[in-house]
Amino acid sequence: MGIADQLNAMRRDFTDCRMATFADLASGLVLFTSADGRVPQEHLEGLCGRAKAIFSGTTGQAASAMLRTPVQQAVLPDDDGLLVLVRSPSEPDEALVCHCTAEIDLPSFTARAARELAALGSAQ
Amino acid sequence: MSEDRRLRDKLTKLAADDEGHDMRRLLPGAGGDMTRAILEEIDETILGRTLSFHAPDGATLRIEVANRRLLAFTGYPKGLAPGPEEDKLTTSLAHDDEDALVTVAEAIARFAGDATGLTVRSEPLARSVGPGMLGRSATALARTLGIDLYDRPAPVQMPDPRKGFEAGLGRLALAVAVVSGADPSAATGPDADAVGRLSAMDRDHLARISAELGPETARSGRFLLFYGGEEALFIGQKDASRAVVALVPSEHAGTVAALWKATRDLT
Repeated sequence: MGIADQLNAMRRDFTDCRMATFADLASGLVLFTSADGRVPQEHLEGLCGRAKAIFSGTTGQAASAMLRTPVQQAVLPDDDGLLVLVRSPSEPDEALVCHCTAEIDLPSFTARAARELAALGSAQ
Repeated sequence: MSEDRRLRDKLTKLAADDEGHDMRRLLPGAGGDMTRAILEEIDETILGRTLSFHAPDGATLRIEVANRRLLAFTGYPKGLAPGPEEDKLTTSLAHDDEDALVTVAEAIARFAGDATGLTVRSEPLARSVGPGMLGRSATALARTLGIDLYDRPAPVQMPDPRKGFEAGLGRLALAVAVVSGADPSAATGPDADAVGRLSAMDRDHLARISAELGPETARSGRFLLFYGGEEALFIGQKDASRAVVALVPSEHAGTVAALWKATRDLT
């Protein structure tokens, strides 16, 4: 099963997830996107850049200092919902960038996203 | 490895992954346990199927399953069971064969090992399941390994939103502080270390993190969550000038966010 099947299946299970993007943060490359509709590439790249800033920039460093460990996941307000960012536990440059409604079941969804990333990491 | 090479390998792998559409990714079950995930797969299989589990290193475990029971192993990596025990893997399991049950259960656990992902292929069983093919239940296999398939941690109970956010947060958080402009309240909470960290909160750090809430005029009602290991940092902007900052156990973070939303909906 490939990344497409994984993210599509995840979104079928979590209908409050409107878009899930698999990104390489180091290069800023969007590697795959599963979404309800077509999402402009520049929007995806903007989200990818924001994820990079959250995990590796000053925001991430500040939050990591309070948590005393690197930030692995973040939930932020977005235009009309939530931006859920989940970093791969095994490949720190990889992350899922997801746009969800405010009704998303956060504990279940973040756990599932982390598992999908772990499975991707182990397959590579 | 150069950056170009790293990305080329990644893209090649992603493209190759898309070829096997008849296979599913099997992820670890509760507690990150792949043995449990395999047993749950058996437990959820009613009609006769051959299930093939493929590990990233190429090893494959093939088993016959029906009625939520494991009938037999039909393919496995050499050496999956120690020496003379290996013959027991290929014999059809019977309800009273406790020796074979232990050997088979331990072989499944050995195959699962520390894998963080397997692919599983499911096909109709080539032979019909006769009345003599009882096999052993997934529950019995799990019990042999000390796993309770139906043991799930109880979800955290969300406090009553009518009692207010901070009252509920007090039951879930390790430490809580209310920040009003440049004047933070003293942090309180049951965890002295977390209270100490919030009390010593760096104001510049907090300002940098809070910037993610958006422009100051639009922050009211919004929240942020950052997860790191066993703890999460929650920041909720109560109104134009006050924010609640809390360190919470990661497993409670989603409940805190839901409570925040529920209490906002009430107002």
